[in-house]
Amino acid sequence: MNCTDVLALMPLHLTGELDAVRAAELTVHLRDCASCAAEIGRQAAMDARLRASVDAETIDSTAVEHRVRQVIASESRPSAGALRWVFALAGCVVALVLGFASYRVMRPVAAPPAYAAAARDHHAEIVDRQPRRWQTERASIDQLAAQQGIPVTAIVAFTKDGFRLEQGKLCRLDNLIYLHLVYTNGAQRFSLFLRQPAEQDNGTPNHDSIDTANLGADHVAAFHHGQLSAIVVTDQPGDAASHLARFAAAVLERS
Amino acid sequence: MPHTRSLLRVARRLASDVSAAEDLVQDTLLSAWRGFHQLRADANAQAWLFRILFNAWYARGRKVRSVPVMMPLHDESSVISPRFDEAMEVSRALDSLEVEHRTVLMLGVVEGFTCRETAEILSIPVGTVMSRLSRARQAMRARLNARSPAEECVEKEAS
Repeated sequence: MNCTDVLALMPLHLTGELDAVRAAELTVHLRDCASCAAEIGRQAAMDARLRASVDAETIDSTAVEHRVRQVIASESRPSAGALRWVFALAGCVVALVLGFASYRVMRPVAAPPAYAAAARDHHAEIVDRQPRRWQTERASIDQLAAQQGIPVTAIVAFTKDGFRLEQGKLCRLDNLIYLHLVYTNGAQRFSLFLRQPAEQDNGTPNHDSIDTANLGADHVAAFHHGQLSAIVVTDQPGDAASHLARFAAAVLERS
Repeated sequence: MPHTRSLLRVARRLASDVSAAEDLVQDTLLSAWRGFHQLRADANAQAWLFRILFNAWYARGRKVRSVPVMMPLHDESSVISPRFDEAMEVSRALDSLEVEHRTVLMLGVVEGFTCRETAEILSIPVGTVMSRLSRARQAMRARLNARSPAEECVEKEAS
């Protein structure tokens, strides 16, 4: 390795990038060549002067860093157009949810078919007095009740405020046999449909609640008690049907 | 932000003024942020940033400053100390170099990149970096009125 080679390789030597073989050859040359050794020393010293001078310069990066952070923050936020779409979509979702909820709350609930059939029977047979074969003897009515497994206490439970049992017969509502009883106080009448609960009674009211429905001019109140299902129908205005049902449920509870 | 001061220090010796240098560094950092997924896990992040800086500078058409930018020093500016004189003399010598020589000195000497890393940053061969570094050092020595004994040695060998 001669002086020209040393000058050419000096950049790699000063950055420590020379491979081991050439680093060894350069070391041997520098041991024998005082001028090259001095030159490398001067170059290293000048590099140090340059570093020290540039390091002494004041570099304030605050402003540019602040600007970069601002741009990054603005790019990270959704644009106004995107926000408008997000709000519009959210509004549609809220409107759909509210609309569905309102529909669920406000929609008319279809009354069970047995209620409608009971109301029709009451209207035709009691209000319109269409001819039917009724049992008016208490013994005969009790016999019909016994055939259907209905206790006599249930019949008595509906005598209220001067109401007495007037007549009774069996009928079919929604393919189930009911004992249709009619109570009267001389001026007003209401119908009572009784039967033992059937297997398909999953959707009928439980013991603690009275289900009501208004079907045209007739008002229906229904409840279960023990092994008994009861539907009260009256054409009296207001909530007379539910009062009767509540009263009867209380009497049955005490009996 | 790491490396911002180093980027700004080099950018000030590339751009036409301080404002242009800050714009260059801003573009560099934003490009790095947007393309961060391109940075390999084993890569030198500082070298990657400088490569982005020089690509941005190339894209701007290498608008080299024609007038040296005077930069404040850490020393009290009102006091003319020997250290201040020394820094000013070296800084003027550096600023008077051709931009290619100034660049390799800033990267290879001031920022401490190896010749290979400098070559990657500038997208030039390693041999070109080595020769530019040699010529840049000679030019600095010439401007600082320091005669190189090695040059005399080479001249003697040639004769």
